[in-house]
Amino acid sequence: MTAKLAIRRLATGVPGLDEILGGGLPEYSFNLIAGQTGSGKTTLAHQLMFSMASSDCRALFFTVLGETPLKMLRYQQQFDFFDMTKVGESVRFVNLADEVLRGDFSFVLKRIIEEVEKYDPALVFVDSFRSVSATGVDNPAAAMSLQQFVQQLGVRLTSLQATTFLVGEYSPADSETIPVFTVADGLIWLSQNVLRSSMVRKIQIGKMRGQPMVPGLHSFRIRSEGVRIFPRLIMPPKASASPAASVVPPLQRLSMGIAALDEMMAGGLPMGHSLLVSGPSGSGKTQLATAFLAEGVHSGEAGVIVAFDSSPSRSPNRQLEQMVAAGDVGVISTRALDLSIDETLFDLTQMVHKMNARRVVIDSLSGLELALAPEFREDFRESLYRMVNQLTMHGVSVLLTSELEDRYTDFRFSPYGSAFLTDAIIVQRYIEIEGQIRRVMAVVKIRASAHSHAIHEYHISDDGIGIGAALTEYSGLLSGHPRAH
Amino acid sequence: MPTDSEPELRNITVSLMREIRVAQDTVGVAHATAGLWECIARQLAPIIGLGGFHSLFLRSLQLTRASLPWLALADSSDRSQAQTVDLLLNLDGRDANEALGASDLLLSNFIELLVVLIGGALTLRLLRPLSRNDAAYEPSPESPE
Repeated sequence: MTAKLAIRRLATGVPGLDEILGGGLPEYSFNLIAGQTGSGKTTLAHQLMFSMASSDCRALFFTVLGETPLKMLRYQQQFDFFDMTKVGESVRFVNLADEVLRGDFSFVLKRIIEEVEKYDPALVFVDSFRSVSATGVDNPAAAMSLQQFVQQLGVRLTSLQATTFLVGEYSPADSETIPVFTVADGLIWLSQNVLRSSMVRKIQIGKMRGQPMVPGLHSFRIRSEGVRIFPRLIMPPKASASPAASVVPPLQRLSMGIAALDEMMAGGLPMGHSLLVSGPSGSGKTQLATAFLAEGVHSGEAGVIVAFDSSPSRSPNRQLEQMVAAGDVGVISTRALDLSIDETLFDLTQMVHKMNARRVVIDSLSGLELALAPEFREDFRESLYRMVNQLTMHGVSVLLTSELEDRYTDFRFSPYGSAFLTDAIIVQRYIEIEGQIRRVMAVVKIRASAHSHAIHEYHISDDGIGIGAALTEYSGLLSGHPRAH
Repeated sequence: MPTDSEPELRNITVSLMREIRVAQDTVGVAHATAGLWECIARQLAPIIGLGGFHSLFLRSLQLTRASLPWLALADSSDRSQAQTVDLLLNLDGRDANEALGASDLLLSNFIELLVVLIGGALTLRLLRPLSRNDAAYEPSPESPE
């Protein structure tokens, strides 16, 4: 008997929760679901219960004061997870209001233990535990203190082999003074923040004894199907360099779908690289992205476009529309203004996996930034970094477009300082030569690869982008004041 | 009760009223009705609390008074949200048929209210044990039966 105990982890059935918990809920753990009013605690508790409960895993839900049981039953059954057939069978509700109103924890503890012994549930919920905690506060004659009650409740329920969830309206400041925070094996914080009319829900695993949870705040949504968590992406540490790893394999190139551009890029975009296409409005960024996707489709690679500016199905870009209609290119189109990067990336990776896509276009960074909830915009650069890396580390090639006003006094590629995030940059500009507006394009960088440094004029027609010869007879093109040699 | 659960809920109502229908007189109906409510309270209070049950009962009584303005609780009945259920109707001056009709309507209104609040399916799941197991219905010892 030298083997260490392997704690069984219960799958919660709440999308994304097992991932941030570090693999599920430890069996027989004593957990606290905490947060302010309206943060989704009761919904999460119900979803956990209905998802996990079965004839072999019965659940007992103690209601107290706070949300009345009638209202709770009325509203919670609006969610898809509320399984009527489990009520009274594997799920049972018990109201503790009478015991709580007697003002002594000993009555509450006695009733909870009696019911648990009688029904023998694997899962126990108490909602709201804050109301229970208030029981004996004003009763000097109470036989049991809150600390004793919490301690005994934890011990007894674990002994009765129940995984327990106490649900309560707490704020982070309470965690210093309220005993249940110390006794709990697991702590799940829920919050909702409102900033400039946009509401964002977040979940944090404060602690989960015995297992490595994913730290930090994760965004989540509550929809008719219940809670869905979008785990915050954390980049895995880079593997330590080994002699074998130091041998760089030759880069496999992806054609951009424009022969002359491939030539400028020394054969195309290296596979698994990210490319920023930067230029002013109307310069042909979306056309270039379309050519990139079309070339993939032509060689049997599906693609995905995340369109924030306009829906490709209503796009004047006929080629893109056709690829979408044929199912060769998947679309994520949103005008929402409260997204998180993690939610966007969740949708994107789902579609990439579903379609086995190798090429992704994000059109555009300005649209993406606008679609994010204001509080996420502050971390836009960091979020973008995580997003691009998450895609490219799986071998997906990513093309991002960035709209940039033509300013001839500086030479920037995006307003987000995000140029360093991408492996390659193509810049498009308007220039004026002999009283005419013309378009030029150049490859600014391709990481670990040679490329052309020439500035080429290009034209946009119904057939797409046509790149002409390098404008070698001029200098000062990007300054807005070209001079013929 | 315009739900899929309606037929079974009607059957439950009939089943619950069975013991009351056998009462011989108005007093018998009143006591059998009180026994029924005690039984319903015993079934629902663990789930919605005794306070929740009382508030539903009083609302049902109020709704029933729209058709039967004379219907009230007996003075001895406990109208508060106390630990006990003592819901004896005052049926003085009514004949057995009138009393029975009032009891029936009160029960129907209660079930209908429950359906409005938590839906027919859940109401059915909560009340079904009362009708499925007749032993669950045990009139209080005071019932003159």
